[in-house]
Amino acid sequence: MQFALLIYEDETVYESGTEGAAWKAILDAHASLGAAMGQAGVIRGGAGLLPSQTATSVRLGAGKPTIHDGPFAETREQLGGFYIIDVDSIEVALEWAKRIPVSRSGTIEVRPTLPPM
Amino acid sequence: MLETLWRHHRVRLRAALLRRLRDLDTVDEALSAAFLAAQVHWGGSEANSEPPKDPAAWLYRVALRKALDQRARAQTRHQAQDRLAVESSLSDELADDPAIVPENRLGLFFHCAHPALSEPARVALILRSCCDVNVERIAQSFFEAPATTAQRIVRAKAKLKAIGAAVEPESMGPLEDRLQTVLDVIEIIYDQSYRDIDGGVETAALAKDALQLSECLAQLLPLEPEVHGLLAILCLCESRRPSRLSAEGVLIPLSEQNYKLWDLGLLSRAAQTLETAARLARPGPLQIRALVHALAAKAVRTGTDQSRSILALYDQLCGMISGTAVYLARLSVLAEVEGAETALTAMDETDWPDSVRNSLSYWVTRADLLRRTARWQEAELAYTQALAANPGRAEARFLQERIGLLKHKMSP
Repeated sequence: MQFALLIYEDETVYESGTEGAAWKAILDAHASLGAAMGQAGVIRGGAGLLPSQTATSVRLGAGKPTIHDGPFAETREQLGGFYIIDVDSIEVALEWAKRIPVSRSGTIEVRPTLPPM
Repeated sequence: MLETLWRHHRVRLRAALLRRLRDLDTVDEALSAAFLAAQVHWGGSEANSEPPKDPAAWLYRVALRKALDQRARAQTRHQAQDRLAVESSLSDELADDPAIVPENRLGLFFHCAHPALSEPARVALILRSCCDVNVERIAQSFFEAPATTAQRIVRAKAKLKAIGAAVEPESMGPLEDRLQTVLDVIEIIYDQSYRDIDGGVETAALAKDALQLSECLAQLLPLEPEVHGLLAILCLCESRRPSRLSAEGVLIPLSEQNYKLWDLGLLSRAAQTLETAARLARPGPLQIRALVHALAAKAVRTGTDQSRSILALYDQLCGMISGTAVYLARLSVLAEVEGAETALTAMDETDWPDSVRNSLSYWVTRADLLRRTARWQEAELAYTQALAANPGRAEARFLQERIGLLKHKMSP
């Protein structure tokens, strides 16, 4: 079954920007994890996201859609990227989640995906 | 010489470079480098050669070359390519360069008015990039620290670059939302210079900028009636610049101005623009406000009473836009038609938001109504409140004069 591993991290760690050392280090770490997932044959997709300063939110509902500068929610930890993996059980998914690199601290939300329609 | 050149061509240059270089940081860096080069080669006092025939095109080519060169060098470092190969591809890219600066001002305005930016970020970025208003001045109009404004602008540029925001109007999708922001900003710029009539050369230049931007927008978007509406408002207001200030530097209200001083060229430009707008047959708030200005000017010039027609326009306007600022403007006209007493009662019965209640125009309107209904003491208080609401120098003098007259009336 497939799981989404959603990575939430305090992005102030990367304040020196996408040219900074912290950013480069985390990208390297993700590259090795991606390679390991590839070798195990579990990875189905995923992406890293640019910092939430670059986010734009489209709010839908009453009236016409409105566009807002910034991420959907103002929280201490922001969505920074995600993996989609295909493994046999939630236990295995959690093991992969524990191996996801974060710079200082972070939360990985593990969510089973809907079966393909 | 370079300064004049900068004033005249900066928007066109920045816009043209944006189209080629795709982000404003690179553009600004390249422009600074080109101006520095111009200073050394032909613009400065120690310059060693004659200025080129078309200085703007020279600046465009040099800025473009510098930026592309730097980009190529960065790439070379990246891919360890042969430097020679880069040089030749660069000269290829510049070979078909036009000798003139290509047109992309609309692209620049609308790039800065990107819907993915917050409203304050859009306004700040347009003021900075399309109008060269300095950061301190922008910060003033937002009531914030210059560092905050500077940060806002840096972030906005970075975001546009990161999301790959379009730089040509034809690839931007529907432009209506962006147009409204651009119109708002031009009005904000003009308003600053209009309020501060005694602000000297700098504010007069700001008014010219706003007029020029608006004229440019009308050329680029001839089928948008509100664009013509804004242009008409600016022409009408600007036509009165020569008559708005007394020899003593005191603001003169419209009804007491010498209309013989008005700029006839601008007045006829306004009339022509309003006709163009009317032919498009899609009325909007800016067009109505332009008509209000036109009728008010006509009243002074012909000595006729236009207040009923103006009031009808205000009623139409109230149906079009929400917000209480327009009700406030309507009160002065209501006073003309139905008497100051009625207008004052209407003012007291309205629930004004704090933003209006603390504004200069609120206290000026109120003071005038109180004065006209002979409530001298209250009027004096209201004028004092207006003085505290940060009027321009000329208007402050006008308000002080009014207070002086009231004191005279009240003294036994």
